[in-house]
Formats: sequence, C-alpha cells, structure tokens
Amino acid sequence: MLQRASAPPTGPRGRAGPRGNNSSTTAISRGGIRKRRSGTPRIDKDGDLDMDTPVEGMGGRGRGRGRGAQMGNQNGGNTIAGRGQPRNAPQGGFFGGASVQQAILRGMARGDARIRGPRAGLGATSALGETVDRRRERDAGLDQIRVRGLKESKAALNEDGGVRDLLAFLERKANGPDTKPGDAVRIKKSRSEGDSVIISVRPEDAPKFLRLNAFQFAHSILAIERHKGPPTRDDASQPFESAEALDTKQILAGFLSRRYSVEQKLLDLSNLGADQRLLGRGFFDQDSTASKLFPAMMKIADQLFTSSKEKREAVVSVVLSNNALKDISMVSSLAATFPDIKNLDLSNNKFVDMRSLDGWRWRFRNLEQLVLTDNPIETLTPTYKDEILRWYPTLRMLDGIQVRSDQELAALAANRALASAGKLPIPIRPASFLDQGQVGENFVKHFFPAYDLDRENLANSFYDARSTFSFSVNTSAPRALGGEGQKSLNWDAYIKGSRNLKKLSHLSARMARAHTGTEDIRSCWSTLPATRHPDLLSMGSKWMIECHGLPGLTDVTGQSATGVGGLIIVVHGEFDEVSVSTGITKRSFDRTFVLGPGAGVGGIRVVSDMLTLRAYGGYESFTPEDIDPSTTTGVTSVASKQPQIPEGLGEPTAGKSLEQVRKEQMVIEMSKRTGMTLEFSNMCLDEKAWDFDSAILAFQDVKVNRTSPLMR
Amino acid sequence: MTTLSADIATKVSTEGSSLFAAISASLSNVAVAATEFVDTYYPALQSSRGKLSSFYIPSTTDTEGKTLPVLVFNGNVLSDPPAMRLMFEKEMPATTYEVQAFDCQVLNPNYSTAGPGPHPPDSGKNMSILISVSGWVRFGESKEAPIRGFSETFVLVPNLAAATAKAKGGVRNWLIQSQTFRLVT
Repeated sequence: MLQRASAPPTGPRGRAGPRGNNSSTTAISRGGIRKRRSGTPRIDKDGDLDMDTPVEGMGGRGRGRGRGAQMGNQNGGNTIAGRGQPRNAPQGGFFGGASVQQAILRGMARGDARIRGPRAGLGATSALGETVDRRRERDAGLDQIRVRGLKESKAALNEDGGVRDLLAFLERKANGPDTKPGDAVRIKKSRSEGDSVIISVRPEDAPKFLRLNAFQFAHSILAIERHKGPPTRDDASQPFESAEALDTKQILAGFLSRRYSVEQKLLDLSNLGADQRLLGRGFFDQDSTASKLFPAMMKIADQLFTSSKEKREAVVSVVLSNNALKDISMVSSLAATFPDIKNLDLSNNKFVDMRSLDGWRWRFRNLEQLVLTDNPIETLTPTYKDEILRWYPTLRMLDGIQVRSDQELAALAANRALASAGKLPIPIRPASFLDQGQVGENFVKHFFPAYDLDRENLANSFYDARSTFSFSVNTSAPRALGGEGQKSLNWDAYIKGSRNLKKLSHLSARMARAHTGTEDIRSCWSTLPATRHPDLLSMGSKWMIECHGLPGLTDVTGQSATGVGGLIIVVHGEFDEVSVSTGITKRSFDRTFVLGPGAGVGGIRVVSDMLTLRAYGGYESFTPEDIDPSTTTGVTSVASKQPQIPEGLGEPTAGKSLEQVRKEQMVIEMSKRTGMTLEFSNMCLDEKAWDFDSAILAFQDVKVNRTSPLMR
Repeated sequence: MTTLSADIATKVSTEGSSLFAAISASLSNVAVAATEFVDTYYPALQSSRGKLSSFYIPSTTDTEGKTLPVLVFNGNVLSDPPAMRLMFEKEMPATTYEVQAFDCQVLNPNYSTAGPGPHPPDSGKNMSILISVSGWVRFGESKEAPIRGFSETFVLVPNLAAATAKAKGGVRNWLIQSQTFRLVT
C-alpha cells in the first residue's frame, strides 16, 4: 500500500488496480474490507483502498478486452472498448482519470466558474473582500473532507505548518496535469482542527479529493476521509443524506469516473464483479444489493449530466462484457440512462436467446454497433443475427462484421429526416381514380350537391331496401395547421348517432346506429345538420376522391351466385355545417361508398355508405409531392403555385355568360392544382371539352413518373 | 338467402324477411371481426411488418387483367401484398398509429366469388366487410415528430383457408381485398 502511495502520480491508480498490477502481491483479505464497513478506524480504510490487489477473474476480463479490439478498428478508431491498448498501458493513468471525471462532471461544474477557491486567480483576493453574507451563501452546500497526516510530513516545519503546500498539493493531484484552468476543481475553504485539516469542496468534486487518500505528501501518508462534523450546508430544502448513502454514492461516482474514457467517450462497465471497491462494499454479497447496484450506478451517472444532449455527446459506447449476464434484467436501466449510445459490447456473457435481451427490443434506437460474441446465443439461437438486424434498423456492425451497407444506412438516415418533418419517403401522389365508365365520377358529381340540397330525393335515387349507411365521429382527430378549425368543436348534433366502434361497445347501440334501407337511411339523414360542400369542379383541390373496382358484391337480382362487380369510392373533403343556432361550422369528413348494379339512377345502387366526421383538417395533405415542374410542359415553378388571377376572372359580371364564369373558375382551379399557368390550364381544359377530371388526368399522364420501384 | 342459425337469430330483433335478418345478424358479428382486424393490423404495421402479407388475400389477376387485392397508399398503387410489406419494411420509417374511430358494415352477407362460401351457409361467417378507420400516425421514432391524420378504408373477405384447412389457431378469418390509405391532415 505504501508503495502505491509513493508511486509516481502518473501511475494508473484507479484504473490499473482492477486490471492487475503484478508487482503488488499482497492480497487484501475480504475480511479487512468488511472491517471497514463496520466502522473500523481510518487506518484500515487505507488498506481497503488499495485496490491494486490481483483479483480473481481478471484473466477473463483480459480476454474480453482482447476481443474488442477487432471491432474498434472498424469504427474509425472509435473503439468500443478502448481495448486496442495493451492491458497494462497507463492510458493516462490517474491523471487521465481525473480529467475524465472532470469531463463527466463538467455539467455540474458548469456555470459555477464564479465559485473559485482562494488561490484561483481572480478569486484569490475577491474571496477575502466579500461580505460575510455572500460568503455564507457560497459556502452553502459544500462538502467537508478531513485530511490527516500533515503533522507527520516534512512540510509541517514550514512557517504556516505546511497548510498552504498541502492545499496546493491536493488541488494539483485532484486536477491532474491535463486540466484546463477553467475546469479545475478547487478547495473552497480550509481550516485546521487538531491534527487535521478540514477542507470544503463542492460535493461533486469531493470524490476527486477523497481518492487522494493514502497519497504520499512530503514523506507522510495522507489519510483523507469525509468529515462528518458540523455541516456547512444550510440549504434546508436539501435533506441530509445518510453518511452511508453519501459514501455509496461517492464510491459509485468514483467507479464511474475510473471506468470512463473521455477520449473514446466510452463507459467500461465490464467485469463489475471484479472491481475491488465494489466488492469491498459488499454489493455482490447478496442478490438484493447486487440487483440494486447497476440501477444506482445509472442514477448517479444520470445526475452527472444536465441534458440528454450532453449525455449523448459524452457517452457513445458502453461495454458490459464479462458480467455473467443471463438476461438484461439487472442492467436494463442502461437503456433509460444512455438511450442514444451507438456502440454496445455485450460479449462474454450468458445470453441464450432473444428473450434474454427482450427489454431492449425498442431501445437504443441509434445503435450502430453491437457485440454478442462469446454468448451461448451464438450456438443456441443461430438466427439471432437476423433478429438483431430487425430490432436495430441503424445497426452497421454486428459482432465485428458489417451488416448494412453505407448506402442503405444513408437512405435510412434520409428517411428519418423526412419522418421528423412528418413526411414519408413514399411521395404523396394524386388521386388514384380508377373509374369504370364514369360511374364513380357521375355518382360523386351528383351525390354531394344533392346531399346538400335534397337528401330526401337522394335517398330514393340511389338507395334501396338493402343499402346500408352509418356514420361515426372522430372527436379528437388532428386538425389543420393553424386557423380555422381551432375553436373547440361541438359534436352534439352527431354524437347520439355516432357508430364509432372504438367507443361504442353495446350490441344494441351498434345495431341501432347501423341503418338499412331507404327509409331508415333517410330518417337518419334528416337528423343530421344541413351541409354545404365546396363545388367539386371549381374547388377540386379541397377534395380527394379515389376509386377502384370491387368484385363479389351481392347480386340483388339473385341471378349470380358468385356476386357482381362494383366500385368502391373513397372521398375526403370538407363542408360547412349550416345551423340556425350555431351558424356555420367548417368540418372535414371521409366517406366511403360501395356502388353496385341496381335500380337507381344510372343503373346503380349504393351498397354501403360509411361516413366519418372530424374536425377541419384542411386539404394541404392532398397536394401531390411528385410533380416535377421542370419536366412538365407549361408548368410554372411550384413556388408560384398560386396563380396570379386577373381581377374579375371567374366572377360573374355583366355580359359574361354563366358558362363562361364556370369555365374561368375551372381554369383557376386547374392552375392551382397543377401549377400550370392560366393559359396552359385553359388550353388543357379546352382540349378535354371542359371536362375537369379528364383534363386533370391528362395533366397527370404528362408528368414524369417518379414512381418507387415497388410501385406498379 | 340461407337460413340463420338459432344463436344468430336470437340476436336479431327482426320482424322482416330473412334477408334483413341476415344483414342485421351480420351487423352484430361484423363488429367483432372488424375490431379484431383493427386491433391486429395496426400493431403489425408498427412492430411486425414481416407478417404483413398474412393479412391479405393471395394475389390474383382475372381474365380482364384486374388484380386483387387492390392496395392504394397515398395515391400509390401497390402491385401486391409483398410490395406493401416491402414498402413498410424497406422504405417506411418506424410508425406509430393511433386508431381514434372506426366503423364497419357488412358488404355482402354471403360473399363468394367461386361457388359457395368457405363456411357453412348458416354460420354467418361468409360475409365480406367494409371498414373505415380514422386516426393519426407519427413517422419516425421521435415523439416530437408531428402527427398526421389518416383515413383508411378496407374491404375484408372470408379466408378460404380458414374454413377448408380445418383452421388451426392463428389463421385469420378475414383477409384484405381492398385497401385505400390517405393522409388527411
């Protein structure tokens, strides 16, 4: 132990220990460790803290490290385990550890630069010049640490008893050589108490000072421990933690800092059971404490960061190898604390199948590299690689082998960017209107004006004794961005008849709200408020109407046992609800019709009519995304999609025929929907004999198809 | 129209013909089938896209060149169920669907395109079903991504295999014949 203390400061005090220091041969018995827990004198603790004792199971750890090197190289030097280095390389040693811890602790230290120790540059004088009140304010919340051993040191002969040198030594050692001045930890206050010096430091800095226990200072071994004397805390809102809890926290925080590599942004939680300090705390003596260890550690790690961004940047890789894990239950909290890690090493554990990893199925959504080598899963569940690929869509490397191409991952990243904007990689395309002999077109053109004006007759025209109708209200549907639908909507007029099966579970209500036959349907319609749908031709962009053929409908004539063919039409649109009491309310709707041959107008009948009502959702979502203006004749840029409409165009004026007004409105609408100029819209419509839908279809045919290869 | 089994008939408060009875009876059955469909299909889109094809009738093309099932996604016509599955597996980001409202109707109480239906005539299981769904969807894994309203219409038809092959557990009773999806906000 003495040897350790006098070791050069660069010696990897914290980290070398568990890795094995072959020069140290005196194994400390666990009994000694326990003694400390039962409150034995400080001198025993010194012994405890000699964690350089060879530990059983270290060989396993060494093997684990060797393995990791292979994958580290493939990740552009960002080794997952930092295991490329020789086992006993100092790796920055203690000082590295200190600066690392500093990096981890930076979040807590941030913003506190003003709190400086007496010798910290500007602070050197200002601390003295401050009012008592302000000093008291600053001293609140400091931790006290007792340092013994000064009296035995040669420095004790100095004028001031060596205090100044001691404090300088402690600060220097706590910080390490690499610390930037602005990041340095400081001793805030100090006082002598008997043979001891009591220093006050920020709580998050305390572990760095406590770790200096058993360091050699001027030929004396320092004994450093938390001082449990009169508290300096006066923050009543922060209840005291028990000394034991503080001690545990401190040990775990110290452990984390020793296992963190700032250069590699890696947290090495491998072989936890072999860590002498953790062993010393008896964490592994009982299952109950062992199971709490990891969550506690994660909680402490969590507290070290102020934001998830900071955490994401500080810890990119985590190693959990060599922990004899049968499943992830003990360590599942890793996913909550470090959800954004990119590299995870689970090698050399006891995972047998995918269920062993089940809790992490939807976690680590940015995982790029996973190592599962040296687990029974390799032989017991040979398909695990396929499964893992499905689990982690961004995974690039599995067990050191590239499993997704860079191209694939780039495409995925692009899709993710789209998704975050609420968009899809598959473009929104114009209506798929696969009509049959204009049956659908004629029906829709007829239906909605008639529904607004004369539902009574409409029911007679297309519905028969076997037609069915029902409607449902989606009272919480998303609304249009901004504006119109914002006032809270009242659904009173509809809710009693709504057949939303998500909410309606009683069979009787379900039955009562499905309407069969002309009479029943007409009577239901008569209870619904009056409506005004926008004109289909002049305001076509407010509609989205799709249809296609559908076989297997009932043959009402009874001639065909195998049924007859028909048409399914799906309509999305909006309407103004016109009510005497509440005025005009804009709402959106979705309505599906199934048409079959029948005795109605045009030889058709409505087989089914299903209406969904919802808050106004606008019509922006109907706009196709795949119109490429540069390749389409006569198309203006998308930016100027709103045509400059000459005054009076499309409006009835003296001398203008109604037909002319209608045509002008069609031209405007055509222009809006296609992005073409008014002139080209006019030409296109003229060519199609002023049949709006035909003109639109013709336009779409001209467009360059940017279809996904998966599309027909 | 075939006669109805007693247990179905008791659910029906009908004084009309057996035709009305068949429609009404199916209306009670159909809600169960539709609920089961909605409760399994959307979760599959989220987490078991590899199984998507199992929701669809086998792809067929008739003499006029019309193919079934008909699958339309935001105006994109997909050629067959594997194309739908591949679109979700390969191109779609993670999705979170929330079904806020749905309704259903019996389309044809005795659906059959080739000979008698797969189930006994009086089982009430030979119907085809129309379902409309209204809800929202969020793309990607970020909970901050905007939600988009969607509307989706399905036609389900009886699964021939479910009746003929002494259906073992897990076989779906109804399969998608037609599907039309649109983002509506």
